[in-house]
Amino acid sequence: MMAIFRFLWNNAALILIAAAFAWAAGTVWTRAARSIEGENEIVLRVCHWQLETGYRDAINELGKDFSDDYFKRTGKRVTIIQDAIPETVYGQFVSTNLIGGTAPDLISVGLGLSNVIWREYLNRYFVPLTSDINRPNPFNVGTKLEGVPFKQTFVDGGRSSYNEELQNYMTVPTSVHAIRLFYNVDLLEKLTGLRTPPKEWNAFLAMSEKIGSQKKADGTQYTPLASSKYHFGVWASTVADPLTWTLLKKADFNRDGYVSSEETFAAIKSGRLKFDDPAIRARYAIITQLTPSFPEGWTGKQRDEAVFLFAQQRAVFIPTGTWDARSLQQQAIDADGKQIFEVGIIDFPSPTSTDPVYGPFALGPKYDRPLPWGGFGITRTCKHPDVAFEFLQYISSLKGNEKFNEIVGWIPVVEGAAIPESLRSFKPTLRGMYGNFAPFVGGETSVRFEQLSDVFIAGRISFDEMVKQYTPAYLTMGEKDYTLAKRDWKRGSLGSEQFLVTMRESLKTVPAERQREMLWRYASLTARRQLFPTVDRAYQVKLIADSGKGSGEGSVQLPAPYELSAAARSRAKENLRKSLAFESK
Amino acid sequence: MWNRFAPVLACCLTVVACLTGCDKSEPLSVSQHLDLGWEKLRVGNIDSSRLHFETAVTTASSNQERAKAKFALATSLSLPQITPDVERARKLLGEAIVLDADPGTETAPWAALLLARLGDLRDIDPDAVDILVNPDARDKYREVMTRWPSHPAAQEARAYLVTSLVAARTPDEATEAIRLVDEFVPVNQNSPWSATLLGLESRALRTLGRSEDRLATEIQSLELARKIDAVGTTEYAGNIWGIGIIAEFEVGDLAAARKYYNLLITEYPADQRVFNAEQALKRIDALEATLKQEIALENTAKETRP
Repeated sequence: MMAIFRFLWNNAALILIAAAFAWAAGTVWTRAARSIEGENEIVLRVCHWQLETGYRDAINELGKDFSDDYFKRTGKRVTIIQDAIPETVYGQFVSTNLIGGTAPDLISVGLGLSNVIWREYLNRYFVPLTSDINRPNPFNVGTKLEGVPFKQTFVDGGRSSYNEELQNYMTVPTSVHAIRLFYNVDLLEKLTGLRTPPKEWNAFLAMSEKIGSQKKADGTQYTPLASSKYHFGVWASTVADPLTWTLLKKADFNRDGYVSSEETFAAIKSGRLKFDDPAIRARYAIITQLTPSFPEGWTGKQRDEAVFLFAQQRAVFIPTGTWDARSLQQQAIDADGKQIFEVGIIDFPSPTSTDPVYGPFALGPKYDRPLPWGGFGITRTCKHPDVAFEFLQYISSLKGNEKFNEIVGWIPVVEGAAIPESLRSFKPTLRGMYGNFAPFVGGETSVRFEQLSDVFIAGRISFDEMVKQYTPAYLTMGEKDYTLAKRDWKRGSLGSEQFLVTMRESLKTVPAERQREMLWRYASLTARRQLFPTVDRAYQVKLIADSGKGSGEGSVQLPAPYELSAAARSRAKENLRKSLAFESK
Repeated sequence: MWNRFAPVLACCLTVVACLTGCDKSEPLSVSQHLDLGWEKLRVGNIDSSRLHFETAVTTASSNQERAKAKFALATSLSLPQITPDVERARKLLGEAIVLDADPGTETAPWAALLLARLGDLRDIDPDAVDILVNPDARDKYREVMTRWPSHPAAQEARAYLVTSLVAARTPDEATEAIRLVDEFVPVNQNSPWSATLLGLESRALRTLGRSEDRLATEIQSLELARKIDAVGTTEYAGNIWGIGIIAEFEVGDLAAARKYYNLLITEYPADQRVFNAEQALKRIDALEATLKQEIALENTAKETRP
């Protein structure tokens, strides 16, 4: 007995290593055994970083449904094996397996690696889905999406699946995220008598003031809006920035629908736009009204501290995304599973068009950029890419996507799919205003802008003082920033050329039947990365040069981007006259 | 005993180590070196790509192979920002053109095109940030077009030449650009470059102030692109929005503007500019109402005139 004990004691380290090895080998062996396909079985390995049970349940449930459907059609079963990898090691896991040729069949793309690396991986290790995604989804037969090309069944028209550099559709998304305002329904009712907060801005402010004026039993004040430096960005982009949509009319010189930092620079230099423009003033005015409802010292708080404040029922509202919905709801339940408070969700409050201050800039709701999630790509090592794609079609069919997202508690990515009741208010608003305020040109102007913004937000200077200090700094530093930006652009065009030449070389190995399609992609990419940008930059250089010519003799007045030229107006009138004459005949 | 065997064992181990360290694999062929080199260059592994290309240059057995290797090496020497050697690249490209001068050649036109591109990319002073194209490179693009007229490189050279001319923003150069597009597109409707060339022509027409022609050209470019892009790889929301804008603000063709704004709304419902398109439709309605009033007033004035 003593001898055995001595042996174990002396070889403890070795035994421990052997046991760990045996456990690891056993795990690998059982997984490998599960991956071995039976005669009438197809195995698909799916890799993602969602460790929540809901997500894995959803994949399993849809996998079972798909298998039943596939069995009816082919007599074969499909087994789905999930690799749910923690976020911290996701990038390494994917890299190792892709490079080692042992990658799962379906990989959720986007986490853990830089965009450049993902692009290279997509290019090298994934199957392009372009031709398949342009065909209707067979699982939508009998629904209102029957016959609609697969990519157009997504709320974003398939934009998130598309990779501009590769000129290919590479992934299929499963869900959409949006950012909304969460609130403690019970606390709101206790403090204001309301169970649903008002959507109109001024009414919302009045409600916030009422909340902020009340104290807890321990004497501490209630915080209307849980916030931190991170949350301020969310508030600014959702409540304040859309008010600057009208800047388009003053600074979108190339009329592409967006105001770039260079266009703002030209507009400010030429005097067509000033930093105290009413739309910019409105943006800051709304921020000034918002921040008193934040907790004291919010600029120094971390994101988690704001969440903590909400969970402790010291704050009523907190802005966040669908991805946090479940965890916030869990925070509202105690250890015994008893509901402590009810969590409500609303869209952000906004001023109406009749608002005396913000009305001229509140022309519509804010635009919600859909944030598609969980885009799966099919790896080149997949033995059954057609079945893998069918599985993705199944998950992202109208009915499949409804069921999938009902289980996981997220918003469906398929247009017209029913959204779970609790997430109705998350439905993205695709028609609305978006921010057009691009206040800095590059690094130096950005630093100065942030410094002054912080001082303004802290209430130490007024808006007018901020503008007075920033404008001359912007004009001086902006010149330097703009020169650097142009230099960077030139360097970037060398990189683009390298990418394009190597892409052209790779076309030589493309099968003859795909040559035409690939040549189109190459030409199209060359146009977007080298040809049009060169010409458009040349116009921009002229625009900035003209903007500096000032007033007086020989000066160049920059045209207002959204005003009809005299010739266009008279032509429109002439056309109308003709059509009216034709109608009267 | 041990002392006797130790040297023998050491010798054996050395031999084994040497044998295992020896590369027993077959040496790579020239085309394998080229493939690997391009692969490395694509992912930005410049030094490694150059090593492969250098080996390919020295081991190539035919002129064609040597030309391919020299073109590849010149690419890896001239385009990366890290340790470029543009002069050597130019020399290699010149040699590649000479080596592969046969009709029906594959490499020489690409080498000539890269030489022309270096004129635009490398021959402009990096501090002259406002100068985007180099007029001296234009003759080199023309040379590719005239020497290998049926080679794909000639079509690409034309696209770069037109770009260079349009970017100059002068009426003469814009007119020359339009001529180059107009002589190509009607007889090359299926070329992947035709829609792009029309897009460039539209910008040249802007320089010349020919708004109606510009609108027609933009529409033709979009239609041609969609015809060639059979599988629908490219997104056209920006093009459609742009046509609506030109129709409304530059031409005053409100019917065309309405048509394209509505097209954006229906085809790209998630595009950010959908809200802008809705606002534009309201704006057009308001403008038409104003114009109708003006016309009615003018008609009344005419009728009441003695």
